[in-house]
Amino acid sequence: MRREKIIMLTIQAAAMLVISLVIILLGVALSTGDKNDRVQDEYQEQFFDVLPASSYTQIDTDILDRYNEITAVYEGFDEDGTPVGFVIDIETSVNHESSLHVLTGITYDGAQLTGIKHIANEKNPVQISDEEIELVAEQIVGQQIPVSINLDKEIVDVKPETVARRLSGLNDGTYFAQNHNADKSGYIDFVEIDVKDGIITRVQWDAFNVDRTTQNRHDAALSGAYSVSGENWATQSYNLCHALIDCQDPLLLAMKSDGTTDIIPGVTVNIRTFVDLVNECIDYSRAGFTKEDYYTGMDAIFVAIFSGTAEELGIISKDGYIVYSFSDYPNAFDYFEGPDQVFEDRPVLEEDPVNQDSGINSFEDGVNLGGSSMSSNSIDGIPMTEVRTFIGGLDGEVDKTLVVLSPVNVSYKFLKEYLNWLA
Amino acid sequence: MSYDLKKMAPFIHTDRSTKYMYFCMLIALIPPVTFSVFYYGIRALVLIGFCSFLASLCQGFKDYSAPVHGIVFALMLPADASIFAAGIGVLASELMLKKMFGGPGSNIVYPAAFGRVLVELLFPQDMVIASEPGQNWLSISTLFTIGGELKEPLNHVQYSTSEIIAGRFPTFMGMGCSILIVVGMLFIWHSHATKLAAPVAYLISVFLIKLLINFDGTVLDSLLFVMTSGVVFVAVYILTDPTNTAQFGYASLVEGVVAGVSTALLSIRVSGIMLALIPILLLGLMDGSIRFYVGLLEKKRLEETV
Repeated sequence: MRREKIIMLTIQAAAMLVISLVIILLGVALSTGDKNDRVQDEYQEQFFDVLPASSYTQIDTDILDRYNEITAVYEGFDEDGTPVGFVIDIETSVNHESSLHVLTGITYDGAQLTGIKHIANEKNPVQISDEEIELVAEQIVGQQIPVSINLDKEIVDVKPETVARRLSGLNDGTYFAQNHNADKSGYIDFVEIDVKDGIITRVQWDAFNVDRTTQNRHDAALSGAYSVSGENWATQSYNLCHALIDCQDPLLLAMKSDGTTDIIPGVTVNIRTFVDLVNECIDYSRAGFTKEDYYTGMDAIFVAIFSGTAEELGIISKDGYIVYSFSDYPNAFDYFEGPDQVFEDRPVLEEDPVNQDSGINSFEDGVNLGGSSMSSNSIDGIPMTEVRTFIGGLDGEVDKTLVVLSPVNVSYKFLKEYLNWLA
Repeated sequence: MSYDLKKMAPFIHTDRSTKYMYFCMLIALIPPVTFSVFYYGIRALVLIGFCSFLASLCQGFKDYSAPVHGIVFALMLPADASIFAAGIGVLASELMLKKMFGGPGSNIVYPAAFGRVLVELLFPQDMVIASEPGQNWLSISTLFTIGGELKEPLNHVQYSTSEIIAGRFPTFMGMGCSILIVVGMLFIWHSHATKLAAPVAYLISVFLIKLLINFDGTVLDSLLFVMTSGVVFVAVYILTDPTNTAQFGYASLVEGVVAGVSTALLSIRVSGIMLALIPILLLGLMDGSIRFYVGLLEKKRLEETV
């Protein structure tokens, strides 16, 4: 080709480039309005249920690099352009195998959950139904975040039809036993059990303090006022009670001579008091000596020693417990009006042929509770002292509840960092 | 006058050589290349440059069609395609199809189309359209990611007409900007690099047949189909190649119509890149036969006229 031709072709190439850029920019200008409308329509369809807003904008921040679970974050605005909150697209993994993909809506100050919506497109979805997610959502939407499970006595519950083995001779009802003396911290331990259809369905182990201005040990453990080595005491108590419901017989908790057990994950405290009190409750159950009977029996002590009932003496706490340490009266329980029957032998563990395949772990191997993202003094890396809402969660399904709470708490952690960064 | 007289001297010498033709095609490719880089960023630039260079390398930098085929191939890729898949496609088209069959001008089908269909079959996860125009402009990680998780494909269904006209919808890198491709076509026409009878016949056939088979569709629906299916790109940059498409006489019209009708009918069952390229590949295989039989008919007609 001649030189002139090459120059002309070069000029034509440059002209094509300029024309292309002009047309592209014109296309951008003409289509941007429609594009924004389309995008906002898509956002409204996806996000309105979790965070009602007039418009949404995707946020781009380096902080997202530290949160691999978070796919995208959107800020919602009302008609005046005032920010109303955030929508976080998050997929948390469970045991590195399955995952849960949800959208969480959180108010602008990062404090309250406005909604949570399951996006069912996980590659390996976690084994939880939408109804279960909805049940947890009902408890947390509208509440302050972060959220944890209330490890209170009411949570440890089980349906009789799921238990494969049961102690013989138990009568239905609520049974109670407390220590006679306070420990060196002033706590008096107690255990309360519910028996239904001959099966222990609920167990509570806690302790009230002789100083009635002091919190129960459970609440004190959660707030950090009471600490033990290893896991939070409330967590250990919860795990222990859950283990007892699984195995029914305190013998199967495998308590060693030093009062500890090796077979319940996370339980390192001395469980001897618990085991003694549970055995006492079991004896009362066989005798049909209910909690009310126990208190009546305690009243007999006070009448005998102090010439007045517990109520008359004003030693009943606001929770209804009789708060008194008998350390100065070692023989006080001689006046206790206990059950008529006295049992020499422990109740026999019998197998229920109906529920052999209930899925409860083998007792010969001990008790296995499985994992939980809630441990030590934190949940999802958030200190318990920072948790604002405690919920009951799903009955007997702690792990499933934690799976739903995890994305909410991770969203909180992200927003806490993001909003602080903005400040 | 005998038909054979047409082949006798004198001949007009012109500087519109093969070299000139492919130079013009390179210039005609500037609009879709500009579009790709503008909307898909560094990924597009790397893929286009790599494919063009690799194609040229395969032919020893002597074949002027190689960079054109390389760029056309790259423009038919999704923005998230990996360098590996692109390389396989280029090597297959340049080495398997061109060199093995006798070098440039001897390929039985359009090389870039062949390479593109091959990578679509070999690397389906890499060929999913998963990026919107304007997203991840600086990202290059997808260039080095082979396979991986199957991405969720995007489609243009919910996009507005103005976005489709502007090319701002998820599609292969250079195939969505119909207006810019038409600018390229106008340059080809202005430069007389090749003939446009086949491409124009192709586009009109696609549009009309699509209009006929879509009983409840409108003219706008057919037009949007033409703009989103990639047929405009195929018409301008593939059907203008003289090696696999007749450039003169009725043969070019026949080939254009055959390709257009088959594309429109295939759209009932097939979508994506296969819809745009399978008719073209089949046309390439039939090209020789069509030219022969149409040539025979023309000869007969001329003889009757004489």
